[in-house]
Amino acid sequence: MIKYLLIDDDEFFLILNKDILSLSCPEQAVMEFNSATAALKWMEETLEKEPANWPENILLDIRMPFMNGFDFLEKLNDFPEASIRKVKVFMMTSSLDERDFIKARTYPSVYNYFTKPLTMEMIEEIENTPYKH
Amino acid sequence: MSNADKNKLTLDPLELLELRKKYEELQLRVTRFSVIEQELIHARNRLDREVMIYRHLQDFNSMALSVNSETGYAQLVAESMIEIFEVEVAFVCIDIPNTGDAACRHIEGYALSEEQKFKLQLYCMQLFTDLPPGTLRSFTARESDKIRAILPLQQVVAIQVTDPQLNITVTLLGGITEKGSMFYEPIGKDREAPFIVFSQHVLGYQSNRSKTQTIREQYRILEQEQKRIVSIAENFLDFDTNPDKNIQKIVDLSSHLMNGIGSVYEKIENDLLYTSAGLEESGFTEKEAGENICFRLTNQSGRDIVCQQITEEETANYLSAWIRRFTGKTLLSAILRIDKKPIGTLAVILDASIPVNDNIFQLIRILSAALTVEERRKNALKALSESEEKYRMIFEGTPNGIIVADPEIQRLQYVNKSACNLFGYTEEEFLSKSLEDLHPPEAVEMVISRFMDMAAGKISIALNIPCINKDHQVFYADIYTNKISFGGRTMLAGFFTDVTRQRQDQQAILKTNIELKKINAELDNFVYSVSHDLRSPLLAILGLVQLINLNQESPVLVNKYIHMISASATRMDDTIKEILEYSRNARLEIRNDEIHFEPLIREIYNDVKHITTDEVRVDLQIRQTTPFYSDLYRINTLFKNIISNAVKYRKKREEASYIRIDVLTDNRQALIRFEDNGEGVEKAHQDRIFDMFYRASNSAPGTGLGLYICKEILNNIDGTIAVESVPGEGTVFTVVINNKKNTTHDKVSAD
Repeated sequence: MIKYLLIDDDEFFLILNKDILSLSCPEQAVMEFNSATAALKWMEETLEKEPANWPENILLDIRMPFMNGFDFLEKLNDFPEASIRKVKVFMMTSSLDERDFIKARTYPSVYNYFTKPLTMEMIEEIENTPYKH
Repeated sequence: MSNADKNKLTLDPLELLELRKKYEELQLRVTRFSVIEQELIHARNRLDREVMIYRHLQDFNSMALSVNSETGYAQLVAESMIEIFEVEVAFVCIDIPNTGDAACRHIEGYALSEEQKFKLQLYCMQLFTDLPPGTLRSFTARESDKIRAILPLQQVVAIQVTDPQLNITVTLLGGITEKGSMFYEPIGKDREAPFIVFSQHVLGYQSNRSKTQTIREQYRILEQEQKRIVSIAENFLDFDTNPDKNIQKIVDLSSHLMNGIGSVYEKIENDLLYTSAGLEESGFTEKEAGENICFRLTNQSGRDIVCQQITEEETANYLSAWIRRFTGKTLLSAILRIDKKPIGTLAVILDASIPVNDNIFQLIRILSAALTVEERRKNALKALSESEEKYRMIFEGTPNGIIVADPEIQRLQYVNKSACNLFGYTEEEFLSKSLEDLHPPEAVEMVISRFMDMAAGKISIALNIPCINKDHQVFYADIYTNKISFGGRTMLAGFFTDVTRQRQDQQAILKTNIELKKINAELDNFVYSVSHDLRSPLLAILGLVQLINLNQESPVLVNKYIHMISASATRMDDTIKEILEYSRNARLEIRNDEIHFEPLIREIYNDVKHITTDEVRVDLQIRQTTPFYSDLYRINTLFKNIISNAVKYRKKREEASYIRIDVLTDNRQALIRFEDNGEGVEKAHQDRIFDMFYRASNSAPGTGLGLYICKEILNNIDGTIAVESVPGEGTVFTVVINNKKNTTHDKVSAD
């Protein structure tokens, strides 16, 4: 079971987030992707081949080349409803733009919106976030 | 006899006496009958004569009807007298007043000279002086020697009758030359009555003749007067549009109507003078300045219409001699006023013999009123022409094109000069145009619908109406309309303002606005991206600092994080540098430096190769024969970005990476080809890699500004950039830059 799916084009943040998460959860429970396309591809494969590995939390960057965070959220809607319900998306961004925040809230699969960098407090909050359904 | 003897024998004396008495009575009766018979015969003769007389009278009547002269009538009367009354000499005198001093006399039956006739009339006049009219007077010539001195008449009978109303006197005189002559028969009592009747008949007939003649004469005068009035009326009716001509006409008419010698109209204000022909003939042509003789002569009486004698003393004071010419004549003058202010005097000079009555006063009053009307009209016309001139100037002077059209027939009636300029037509060409000719075909329907709305008063403004000029060029006009009365019809006046420039400006502003909005959006995007790109390394540093704190006991981790902090800081610095490059390109003036490509590219490569520890070979081939000029700083940035991209996006962990750079320059331009064997660009991204912040790859950190800056630089230094790439095999950037020096040379040689 994958607890965290990290999606960020910035290698630094992937390293950074993985390192901080390693303090509270085992390394194999964290998957990292430097592009949303790669993450989607993996999720499609996982759902098909190893549904047990379906991630619980996704930490999603907004500003990425080709496919940005919102594009990813659109694509996520194409997954079966049941699988969408089992994933909690947390936006992780360096953006201070309010428009991004407002837009993120319109996606039902988004549970929270955080500003980088990931902190221990955020991890705790993520851990304590219940499913909506 | 025997019978009588028998009777004689039986007759006693008493019987005889009786018989004798009866015989005498019978004899008396016979005598009386004979007298009665005589009387009866006499009476019958008289009646016969009277019947004869009346028959003669009847004949006279019918003959009198055909007589048309007074003398003819007198002759007829005389002839009739001889025939009816059987006189030898008949003298007839008909005295009619107002026919000159010669009374109409005629004598028949005796040759008399005019003088004798006159004397005879005088005699008759004296004869009847003391007698009441209508009295017959019969006398013998012996009673008067006078009559015998004229005529050797034995017996004369005369009668005079008068019509007191008409003052006509008829004197009839009949005479017998010699007693006992063959024709003699005394004019007895039995002829008196018919003579009286005849005389009254003659008078009555004459009175009727005179009355008829008077009526005829009056009728003739009336007819003449009527003709004159008709001619005056015609004269007035034939009014001219020019008041000056009418004024002259009225002046001429004044003299003519009153049978004057001449007339003059003096104007006070400007010493203008109108004179009738009569006055001009008398040698008077010009008035001396400020004289106004007639006005002064009239005004001193205190009345507006005056009739006065021109006297020596009154005219002596005047400079001009013309008025003195008319000393002794009558001056009939009237002062003309407009708004109570005197403007002039109309004066007619009349012969002193012409009676000045109410009619003439009335006439001059009417004529001066007509003159005043003309003067008012003249003032009004002057004011009108002034106002017309004023409006014409406004119409012609305005920069607005004015077109007046008839809404009913949709024809143009008037165009001003500005409208002609606007459309490029002459006035004549313009007026032959229709609405359809003035607007582009595709707009005609809309324009006509607007026009009809304007004509109906629904709208008065139509903005941005496309119009077409003589050269078929389209321009735009704002049209304001107004209804005006033009030649008695209601017209639509359109005021055209050319708004083509305004429209162009407006469109330019709109375009600029769109551009500005785009720039604004770009700026917004720029700020968004820059803030992100600047914040990202900073936030990474914060996260790393947190990790250092959490992992203080692990020097390896701490060391790793410190390296990452350093790299983040460098990244941030790179971003800042790129922004600066972008801003410098936008801001700095373009310089003209000589470019030496080889050292420039070598230097850039030396800077860039530190990005990686991997070996990236560079093949440089430069064919530069002529000096090349451009902006050194910008070319440096341009090349650095392209070369660093080739290094950053090399294919990792495969064959040796390389960059081939070919530079070919000539007088016109430099052609530079950058070829690498890097990861390449997906076809889908090739069009967008020059966009701001567009990143086609995530295999190396970047801001997405580099190629955008390259494109911007080439825009500034007059060059182009194109990309060809096969993903996984490599990329070729082809850059063309104009040789700036060369352009200057061209210009010099061209000069």
